[in-house]
Amino acid sequence: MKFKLFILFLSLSYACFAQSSVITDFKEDHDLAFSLYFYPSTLRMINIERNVEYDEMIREIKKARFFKLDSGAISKTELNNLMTDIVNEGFEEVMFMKNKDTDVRVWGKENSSPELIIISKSNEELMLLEINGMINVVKIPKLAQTFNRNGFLDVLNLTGKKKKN
Amino acid sequence: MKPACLPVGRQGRSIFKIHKIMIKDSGIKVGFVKFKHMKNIIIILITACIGFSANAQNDVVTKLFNDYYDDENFTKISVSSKMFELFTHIEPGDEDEEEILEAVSKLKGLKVVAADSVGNSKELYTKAIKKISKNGYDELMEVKDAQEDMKFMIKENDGIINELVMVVGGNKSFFIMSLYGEIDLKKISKLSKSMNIKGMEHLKQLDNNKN
Repeated sequence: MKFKLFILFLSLSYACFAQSSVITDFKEDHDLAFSLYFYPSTLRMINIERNVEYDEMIREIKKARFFKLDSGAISKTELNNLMTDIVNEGFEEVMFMKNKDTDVRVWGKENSSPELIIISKSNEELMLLEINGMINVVKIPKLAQTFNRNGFLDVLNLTGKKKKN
Repeated sequence: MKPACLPVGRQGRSIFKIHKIMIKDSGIKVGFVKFKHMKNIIIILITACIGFSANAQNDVVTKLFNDYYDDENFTKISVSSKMFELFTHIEPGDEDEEEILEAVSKLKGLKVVAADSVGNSKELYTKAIKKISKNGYDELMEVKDAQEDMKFMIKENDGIINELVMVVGGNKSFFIMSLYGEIDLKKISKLSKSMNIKGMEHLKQLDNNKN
């Protein structure tokens, strides 16, 4: 009985923090420039100056994965297949933004907590962000105003990425 | 036995079968089947009409959106109702946030077309205004200054604003935004203040206009 309860608990925990298998497969099949994994604790950790708006914004994020690869590392067909697979996994396109340099698409799925997949493609790179939970969008503008005050740990620099001047 | 009313039977096999059974029972029931079927057709037609009118609601802006879709000079943004639904999962931190999230949850979509360095921005502005005005939108407010012209237009139904369109034409910039769903102008104005997104700041004018 205890064993059954343990298995049930494990299954439920897995369901709560389930990640898209499409993204996992994609990650395994491609040569990533770098990848980052965030949990509530690590998301709070990069907020060195304890910015309240930031803490509020990430409050409902349970897990996030960020992958980046060079645009050349993925063909147009592969990208189209990835987008089709995302939809086949039950995600719905909820937003897109297209301009001269960047193409951003966002898919969403409602489970016990929402899941978001964001793909941003430019001529140089492809960025993929998967969020389990929800960003508090109301806090984004206020945060944007304070974001450049070096109050955050630059995780991109930590991974060896040099800023372009 | 041949059904008494063939036209109904011709429309489909399943209808024909039901029709036949009913004939065996009584002729009156045939009339009932026909009526019942008509009712289904009417329901389908009404649903289709509602669906069509809902789509037609932002038809002009969608057309403009599609016109500029492949033009690299324009930034295109589209947000679906599902995105706004997802926002309902956010727990509001205070009353202001609650009010904003409530306003957002009633929205069904957002479309933006924007450009900041187009030579014919004034022409685009005039063309867009003409197209929108022709399609039954009421003018809500107009602001003109040396830098840019701005017009807000709405589509209203039973006292509820279903769509808010904002068009801005500057010296080199052009901006058109359509916000649809159930719109509370006061709350949308508050939302625009808090969001501080490029172009959205024009919505503050709605509140200034009231004061």
